[in-house]
Amino acid sequence: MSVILVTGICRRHLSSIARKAQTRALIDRVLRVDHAGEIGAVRIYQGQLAVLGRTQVGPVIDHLLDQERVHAAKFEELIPKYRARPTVLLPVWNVAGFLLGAGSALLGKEAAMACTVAVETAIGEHYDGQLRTLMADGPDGADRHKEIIQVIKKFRDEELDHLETGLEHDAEKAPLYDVMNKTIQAGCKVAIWLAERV
Amino acid sequence: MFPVVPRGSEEDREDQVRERVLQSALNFVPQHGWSRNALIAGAEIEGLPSVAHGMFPRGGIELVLYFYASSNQKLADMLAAETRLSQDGRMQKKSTELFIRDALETRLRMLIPYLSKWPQAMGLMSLPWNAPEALENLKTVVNDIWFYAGDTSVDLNWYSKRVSVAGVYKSSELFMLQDSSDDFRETWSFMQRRINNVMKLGDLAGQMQPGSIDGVGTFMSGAIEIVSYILSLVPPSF
Amino acid sequence: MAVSLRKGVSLFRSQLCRYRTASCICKKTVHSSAQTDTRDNSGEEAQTHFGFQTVSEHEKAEKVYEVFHNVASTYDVMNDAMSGGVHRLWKDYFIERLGPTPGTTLIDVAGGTGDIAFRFLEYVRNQSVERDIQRGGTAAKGDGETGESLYQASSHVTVCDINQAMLDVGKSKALDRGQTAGMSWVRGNAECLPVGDNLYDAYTVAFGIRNMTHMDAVLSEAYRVLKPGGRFMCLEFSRVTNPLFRKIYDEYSFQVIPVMGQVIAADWKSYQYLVESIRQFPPQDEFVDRIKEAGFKVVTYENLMGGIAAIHSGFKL
Repeated sequence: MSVILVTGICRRHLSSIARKAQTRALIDRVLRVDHAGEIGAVRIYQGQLAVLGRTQVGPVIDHLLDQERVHAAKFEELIPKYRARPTVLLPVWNVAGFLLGAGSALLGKEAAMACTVAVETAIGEHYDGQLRTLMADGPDGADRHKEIIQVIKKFRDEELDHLETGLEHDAEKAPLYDVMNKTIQAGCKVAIWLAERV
Repeated sequence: MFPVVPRGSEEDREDQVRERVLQSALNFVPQHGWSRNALIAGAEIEGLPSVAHGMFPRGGIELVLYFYASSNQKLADMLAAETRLSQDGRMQKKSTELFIRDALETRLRMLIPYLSKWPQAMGLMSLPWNAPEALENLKTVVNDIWFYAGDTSVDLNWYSKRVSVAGVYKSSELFMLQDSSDDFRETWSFMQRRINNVMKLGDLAGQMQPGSIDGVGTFMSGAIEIVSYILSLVPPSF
Repeated sequence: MAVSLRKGVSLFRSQLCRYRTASCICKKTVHSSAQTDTRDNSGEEAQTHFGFQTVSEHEKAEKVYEVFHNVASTYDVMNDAMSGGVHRLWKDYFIERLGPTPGTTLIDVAGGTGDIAFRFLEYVRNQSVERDIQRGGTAAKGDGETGESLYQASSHVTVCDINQAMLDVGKSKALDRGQTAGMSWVRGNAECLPVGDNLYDAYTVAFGIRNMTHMDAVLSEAYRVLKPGGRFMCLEFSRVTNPLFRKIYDEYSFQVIPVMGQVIAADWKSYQYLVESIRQFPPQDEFVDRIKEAGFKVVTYENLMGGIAAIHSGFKL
């Protein structure tokens, strides 16, 4: 009933209506930001492919892109199922992701890999945080959110694989690796914050 | 004392008592409007002293929001049942347009017993401190209708679909307030015309319309029609 | 003055009853010849706070009695000094929040001078006038007197205070206003009210509960005397939430108010106590828990002026 009054307030004792509303708001936020993130990741790899598609790392990036596409499709299935609201800024993520991917690829193959490493690190941490929040949602959080928790766990592991792949392909040899890493991670955090809310 | 079933937590029991008072108070709305007096009458029917209206410190608006939310819940339950029936094959699956039309009509019909006092309710809901919660209730109606209509969009279509149906709902609600025809015949025709407007732009058909937010257009054309009808400038087009 | 004070204190002692958590059995006063004993099981007297001092419970009750005996005649002036005159607005708002209808029975505890009681009667009188107007105004005009008094006769307020001096002030105010119908004045201890169970629609205590030794007993008694569905409301000074504001408020309280007390009533110590007692009162959320423990449901609070005062409300459901 009073969704507005419940979300954002941490009350010690909630009625079951209020608790349900809080859970729904949580799931809504989680799915929205994850969907936005995967769409963004798809665009990043597409941007990188546009520049580096015909080089040696092309197939590697292609493989990463395929996996991200699977992830995005999964969230596109979950959003209507759990009645979540997709992010309104989708056009923005589409463009920004592509630019980031293409831009980093133009700086060279190592820079593209560095970008991958940065993004995957941010996403990995983000998924970890979400898993913790979901499992802490009430005493039976792990049970109630079993499906979503499993999906996020699997995807997090795959994102960490991507991270390894990026490192294997000389990401750390990229010029200004530390600066790039920190900047892109910060950008991701801002994007995550926005996608959770808007 | 009171025949409250002792299940769930303390807070649930409190909610149950409040709900019973609100439900009884609804019976007094035609007489007292959406006001503290209706709440007092409801409380007294439930065997509580009149000071029990203090459980609803914001007064009449709490009754309005309760009515809105419980009507939404009734609609959701009906739509869920209908979806189950059509999935089991016991009922023919309706087209999206017909489904939405019927859902909107069902929901608007719930206003009929309180129509004389509904302008007061709308006024209360438009107060700035009440508007966010009232908006949430409208969002719930629209989300429920689209969910049971089988919407799976995950991009900007999600928004344009909901805004357009909200526009149809709101303009039809306004029209209904001054409709004196038999069984609100004219309201349903008005609503059909609004739905046709929206259909023409392809929103309901679910085609990709990047960034088409059409709800404002629907609402405006509906508003213009109401005003011209009231001012008898243009006879209503059947 | 000293003689009457001593007499008052001994009379007060005679009404002290042993604190019980179960239903209170003291419908009759215990005579002064019987020694009342507030020692706990270990044989040592239980300690509590009197402002910032630590005193025995017995001593606190006596000291509080003394304070209010001293301030009774200038009580309203004292309130004005402590809250800058705003207490009147708070009390108006308090009654508005209660929203009583004609026919409501109220017990106002620790409200000796009648502030809440008079406002309550005024409010229900306005309500009945409004209802008459809505019904075509015949009762308001024609036999206006009978119509009004019919409504008012069914609304009733019982003012209860432990301090006779406070009650006397209230009674004389009532006479001055010509408002004696619908009021009763009862001397009694809030921890052990001299009335039966399930009698009142509403129970109010305004700026009184922080002076009481056993708050939980007061809350239990409130629960006992209310009808099922009845409302408990408490208006009290509380914890200011904003830290900066709190600092300013503390400065005002500790530096300015006792001085005012000395100037207005030549009584620094009583006012010092009053300011300190506010700080000792539990904060809003803790007080909510205590009210819930007494059995009340739908317990909420509302801060006034950033937390300087708060209205707590609960229902006997």
